[in-house]
Amino acid sequence: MKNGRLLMLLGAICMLAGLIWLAQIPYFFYRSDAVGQELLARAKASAVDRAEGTTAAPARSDADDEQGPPAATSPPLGWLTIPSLQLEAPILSGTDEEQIAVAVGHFQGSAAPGTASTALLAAHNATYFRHIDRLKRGDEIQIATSTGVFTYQVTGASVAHVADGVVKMGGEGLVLMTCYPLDALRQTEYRYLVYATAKKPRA
Amino acid sequence: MRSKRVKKFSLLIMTLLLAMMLAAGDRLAQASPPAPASAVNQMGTLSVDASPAELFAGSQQIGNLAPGDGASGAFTVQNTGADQVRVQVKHHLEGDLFQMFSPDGHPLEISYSIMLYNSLHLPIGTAIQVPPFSSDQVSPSFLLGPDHRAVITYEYRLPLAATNEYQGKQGRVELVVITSQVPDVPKPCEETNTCPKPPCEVTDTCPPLPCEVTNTCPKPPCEETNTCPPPRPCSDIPCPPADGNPTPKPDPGSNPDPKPDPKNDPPQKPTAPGLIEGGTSPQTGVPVVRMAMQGALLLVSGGLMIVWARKKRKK
Repeated sequence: MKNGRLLMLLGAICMLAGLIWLAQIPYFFYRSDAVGQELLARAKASAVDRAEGTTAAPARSDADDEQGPPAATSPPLGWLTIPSLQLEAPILSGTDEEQIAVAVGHFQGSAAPGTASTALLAAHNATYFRHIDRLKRGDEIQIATSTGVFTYQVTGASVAHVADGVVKMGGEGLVLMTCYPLDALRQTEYRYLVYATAKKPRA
Repeated sequence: MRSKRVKKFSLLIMTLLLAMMLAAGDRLAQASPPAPASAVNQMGTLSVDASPAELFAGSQQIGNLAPGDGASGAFTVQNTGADQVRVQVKHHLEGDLFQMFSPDGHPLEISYSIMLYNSLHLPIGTAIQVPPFSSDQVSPSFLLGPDHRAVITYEYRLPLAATNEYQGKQGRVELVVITSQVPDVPKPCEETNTCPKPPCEVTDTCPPLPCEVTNTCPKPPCEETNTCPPPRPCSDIPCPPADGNPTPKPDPGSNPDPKPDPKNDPPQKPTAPGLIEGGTSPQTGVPVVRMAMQGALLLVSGGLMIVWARKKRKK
């Protein structure tokens, strides 16, 4: 009798743990969206502050005051805009899970956007970069950071094995990276890479 | 009672078999290459081994394409060696069709599908699809085990958006297979028990550093080092009080030393193409399937426990 109760209790605990475990999946996407929106608002607000010349404390959005999912701690580097995908995403420094769970991460081993080398941005295939295979040659990608707004033009895309690495571009360039296949809801050995070069201003 | 149990058991086995068949069917369906647009140009089988090489796999003449036209071809790469080999497929483009808008302006879309099979001719994973984009395209590398083979299907298509300028032009696609040796990865030191001891900073057992190293030694008096400044007449500067600090205070009104000009950053040169070290290391997949499986496993095991407990209680 006692054993039966214990078993029942254990079963109930297991089922509860299973439900909590499963709840992590919708929570991941909810948090990614909510914190991402907050970071985007923060990045835009600080850009407005810079433009107005105010050096106020880091801008806070209304979402900060509300009880919501825990926010990412580091301030955003800027934001990424891809008009053809109608995508706007905040950019955080670093590509650990902490950063790419809520934003697009700038790989710290790559150049900063707007410099003469290749910048690498990574994001989850289930969140911000789920449709990057729809990018076509010539599509525009914009990155706004504290140093300026940089426009790139897509030149190509490829699939690479993780052992192949990411090839640097000749001059000022940008690589967007995510897991491949894009609909794979797991860690994979392949990466989808979109290459873009800096768009030269028209003369 | 017994026959009921047998019935239940056979029902469970049948359900399991059905689930396995469904899963296998799905896997086979995923593994099947996409239906080609027209007749597939079969190029035969290329044997490779672990030695690094660049091998010609075949070529395809392309000509007189109208917008929307396309074709496909296939060839097989088989590892006949005893070791794993890393394989990549690359294509070279020749001819008027590709030289019209050099270096990368032609609209021809070339894509690949790579399917791996083991020695039992069973598919390994799902096909690797390489999207159309670049003209000078290199496929992602893949590992081919001993006796394994890869069926590589390529497809080229002139998109409907292409202009009539391309009609009548000819081109040639040469397919090359690049093989490289898979380096023997040494066993981790944890397995061989040869790991170096962690530094004292990690274990927090370092002895305190001498003050010469940390640059925190007290300064010897100037009389010892014989570096005392010569006494200056009190007429030039305000005389210090008899027991006060001998160093004169700077005049707050006077201008401080001008700062040296900030050095201009050297102009940035465009870097040479190479690899971004560790560029593919970010884990950009969301392990949803794993989490769902773990959650489902917990739910099922919890449910089974409850069912078992209720059965026990009934007894």
